[in-house]
Amino acid sequence: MRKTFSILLIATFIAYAGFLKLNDKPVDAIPIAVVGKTLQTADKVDVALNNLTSSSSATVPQGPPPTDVGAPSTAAQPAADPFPNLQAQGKARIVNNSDSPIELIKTTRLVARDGKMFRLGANVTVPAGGQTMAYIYADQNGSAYAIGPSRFSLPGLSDAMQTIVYAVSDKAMAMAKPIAAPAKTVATAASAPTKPTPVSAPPVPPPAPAIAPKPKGRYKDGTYSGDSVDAYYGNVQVAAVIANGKIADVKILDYPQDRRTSQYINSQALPILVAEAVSAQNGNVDAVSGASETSPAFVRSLDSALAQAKN
Amino acid sequence: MMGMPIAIEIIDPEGQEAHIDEVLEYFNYIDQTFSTYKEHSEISRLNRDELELSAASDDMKEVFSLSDETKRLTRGYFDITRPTGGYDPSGLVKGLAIYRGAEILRKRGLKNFYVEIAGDIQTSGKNSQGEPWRIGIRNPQNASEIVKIVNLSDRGIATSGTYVRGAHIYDPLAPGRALDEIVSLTVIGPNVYEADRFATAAFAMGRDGINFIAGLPGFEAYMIDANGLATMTPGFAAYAN
Repeated sequence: MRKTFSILLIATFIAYAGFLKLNDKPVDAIPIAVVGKTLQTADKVDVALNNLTSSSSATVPQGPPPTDVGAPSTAAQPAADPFPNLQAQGKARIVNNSDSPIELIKTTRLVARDGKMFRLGANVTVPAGGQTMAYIYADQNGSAYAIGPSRFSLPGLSDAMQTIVYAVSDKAMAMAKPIAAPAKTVATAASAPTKPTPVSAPPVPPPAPAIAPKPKGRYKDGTYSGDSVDAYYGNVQVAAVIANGKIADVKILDYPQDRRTSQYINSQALPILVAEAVSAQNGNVDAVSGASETSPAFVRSLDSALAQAKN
Repeated sequence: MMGMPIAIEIIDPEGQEAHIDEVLEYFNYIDQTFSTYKEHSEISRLNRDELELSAASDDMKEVFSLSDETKRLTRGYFDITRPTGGYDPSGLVKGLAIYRGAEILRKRGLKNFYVEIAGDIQTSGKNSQGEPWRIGIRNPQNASEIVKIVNLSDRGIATSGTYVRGAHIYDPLAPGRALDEIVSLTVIGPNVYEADRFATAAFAMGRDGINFIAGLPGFEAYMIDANGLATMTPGFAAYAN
């Protein structure tokens, strides 16, 4: 009896300590996996924008903590692909260590070390001894292609060229609406048309519409991608997973990955803004903060009036 | 100062009239130097090309240098050049002056006070109830109403916005664009100088301003749009009741 009791006590203590640790995080922080691992879901979700109702921890399944990369949430069967119809997309640097410029056409194949195939999203010219950023997309749909930073070879080139021309992605791919069916006929680099289009055209199209609001908070089951929104430091895109008419999970499809924001990512995670209707507050205050009521026009007008009022 | 009302409250029993006078004297100096409404201020003489920046006072040079830095940090959204020509650094001078005014009081050993110029406030320590200073945020559409109360101790708070149609803040990257979608943006930061310069820039960004502040560690914001909907950064609620 005594033994059982002390085990129970220890278990309770560990559970309690774990609970305390979880709650050290800000309520609405969504931990973002370090670049290089696949995106992980949040432990706890609190979303209050764009018709998504706030979810309490009771309805949100606890996902695996970010360190458990690849660990399935249920031991019995492998996790189903949450994005079977989305396509991994991202940017890669095409590196050209040869002594002449190289022209690559849209749909040129890039193969990652594990054999996963991607294609160039647009024609690209890479200067001799230089690098060019290019958009690439996975040859097949599904989140297995949401790979972290990788090196790619270009199988369309000769073996010799492949040792000095290759591609590198510095950031993980993100899932988005597919941009092109895999090409059925692919011209080799040598027969590329003369004028490559600039790389600046992003291949990511307008994504699926945001969740349509339903009366009384009911939603249709499924996975819905939100708009890709410019969040100043980069794009943010999330997808909501609806199960049994309620929000079961929110996945982060894209988040600001610019080098300049690395401090922001480490220190704050993805910010979730909270909305509310403005309403009058009753209560004593020591001071009031408001926009200055003295616009320049106002002050000029006052000055001129005072000038007239002077004795 | 520069046509704006000043409020200073000191709780410490060691506080004296003389301390407040010292701060007001400093504000008067700032007014004489930086007020674009004073014909003979240094900034007015600079704007009329009667003075080169290289020959201006150290304080003027400092303000221009800080303005450059702020412009870089805000990708150009903070900009003291006026569309009609010349400079108006009041978006930075105001916060800086309040901050320096508060420093004067701190140097005198005071710990519990606030210093305010026209709705931008630096708080220090606690109020007369021994609690963080309770600061109300004004309803941009009804000046006699408060729509949010925050509790601040050793923080700065600044609000940018428009009450009068014909915004006095313009978008430096698109001077023709009317900024009437967002009517008020309040920023809480480690001090009022930082809160003020970033509030000024963030307001000029329109709806994106809240995202800009969300990306600054240590800063929180409360944005109100013309429809009466408020949006706040995740950590803002911790300051509110």
